[in-house]
Order: sequence, then structure tokens, then C-alpha cells
Amino acid sequence: MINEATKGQTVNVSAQEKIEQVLPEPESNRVRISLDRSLYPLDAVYGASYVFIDRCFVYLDAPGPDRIEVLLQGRDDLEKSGLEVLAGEFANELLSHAWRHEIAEANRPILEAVTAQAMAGALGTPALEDLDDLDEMDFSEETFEDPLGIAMSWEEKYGKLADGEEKTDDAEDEAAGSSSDDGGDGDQEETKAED
Amino acid sequence: MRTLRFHHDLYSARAIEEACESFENHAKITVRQELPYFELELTALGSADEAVLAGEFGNFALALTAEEKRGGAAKD
Repeated sequence: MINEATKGQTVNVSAQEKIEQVLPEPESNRVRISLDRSLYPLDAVYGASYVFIDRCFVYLDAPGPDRIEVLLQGRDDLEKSGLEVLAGEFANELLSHAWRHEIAEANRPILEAVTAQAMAGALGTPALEDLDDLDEMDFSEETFEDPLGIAMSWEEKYGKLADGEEKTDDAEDEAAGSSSDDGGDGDQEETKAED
Repeated sequence: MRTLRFHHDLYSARAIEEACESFENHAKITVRQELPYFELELTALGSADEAVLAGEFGNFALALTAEEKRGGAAKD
């Protein structure tokens, strides 16, 4: 649809008319806008309609499965140009809502992730009752056999301390005990000689 | 009397029902299901302008439907 404002501009009229058809009906003081449902999500149509209900009476209809018809009826008497302006402003509002809808859809995974993190944080640290499962676990040493001493640390097994640590008498006794238990191999003697 | 038609896909039944309850002091409204439409017959009570009343009813039903679709309850 070409009016005075669009004369001289390059407008793909056939594509524009496919998207929306604006039919002013001045004798009924209303304008009919037919929209392609695949281009404008229903949420956007509701949003734009909601904005306009204080300016005019808004009716929605679905004449076909792929089209939505919006009927704007003026609260006051409007001429044809007034109805076209009303329809144009509605189309702008509709486009704005459609764009915001698309942005919201694109950002939905991020919003959901942030919300989930916020909710998890709001729950706080787990209470002791939440740790009841631990009671069912068996931490006794009987079930764990380590005849080769694989689970022991190097210091436990050979008595070497980390740098900066002083060897206490107890630690020396333990180291001596463990070495006597092991029967004293050559490696251990080398280690003690290094110390 | 005015006849209003609201498409099932675009207006929620709950919103229509609530709008009827809200307007019961201003108009006598009967609802029929004429698929795919809700068909309403609206008769103004008193001296109210029936055309304006019908328009306001349509706006009210649409607003309730939009709020419901956005996740809010149509009725608190």
C-alpha cells in the first residue's frame, strides 16, 4: 500500500501487502488490519493490542489458520486519514513487540540459567538433615584392605616430612615402627641417609 | 441488542466468563458456543450506550486474555 509519504521511496509493495493489509472503513469508524501469523507471534499481537485499548476498541479475529485480523474502532469519530494513522501506529507497536519477543526468546537460556543459580543460592547451605545419607555410608576400615600400602601417603610409609616441617619424636617413632614392620628395605635406608 | 463474536483461538473462555461477570451490572449478556467462536448477545441495562459498552467489553476480554497468556491469573 503506497501513500504520499512513501512515494519516491523504494518499497517492495507486494511483500508489504503480503505481510499486512490495512483496510480503513470510515463509514464504520474502524480500520481492519490483516496480519500474517507466521511473521507476528500471537504474544506480540496481544502486547500491541493491550497498548491500544485506551485509545480505541480492539477486536481480534482469525479468518484463517495463517492470518490474524485486528479491528481497531475509534472511540471518537475518525476520518480515513486518522484511521490510517491509527493503523500505522499499531503496526509500529506490533513490530516493536515482535522484536522484543524475539530477543526474549533468544535470551531465554541465559535467563533460565541465571534464575536457576539465584534460586540455588537462595536455598543456602544444606542442613544437617540433608546429610542423612552419610549415615548409611560405611567408613570403617575393615571393608578396606590395603596390604601393599598403596593408600598410604609417602610420608606415612617412609617417614619423610615435607620441606619446612620438623620431625617430632612421635613421627620418628611411627616411621621407625613402620620401617621395622616393613622389614627395612634398601630404598628406605637410602632415604634416611639423605635426611 | 448487539452480537459479539470472539474466536476460541484468540480469547480465553475464562476471560470471557470473567468479563461477563464484571459487566453483569451494566448489561444482560448471554453466551453461546458457536465453534470456533463464543457468540455473545449483549443488551445494555439502563441508558448506557450499547456500542460503547460492547467495545469496552471487547477490550476487557482482550486485556484479561493477554494477561492470562503472559502468565498472570485472569482472576485474583
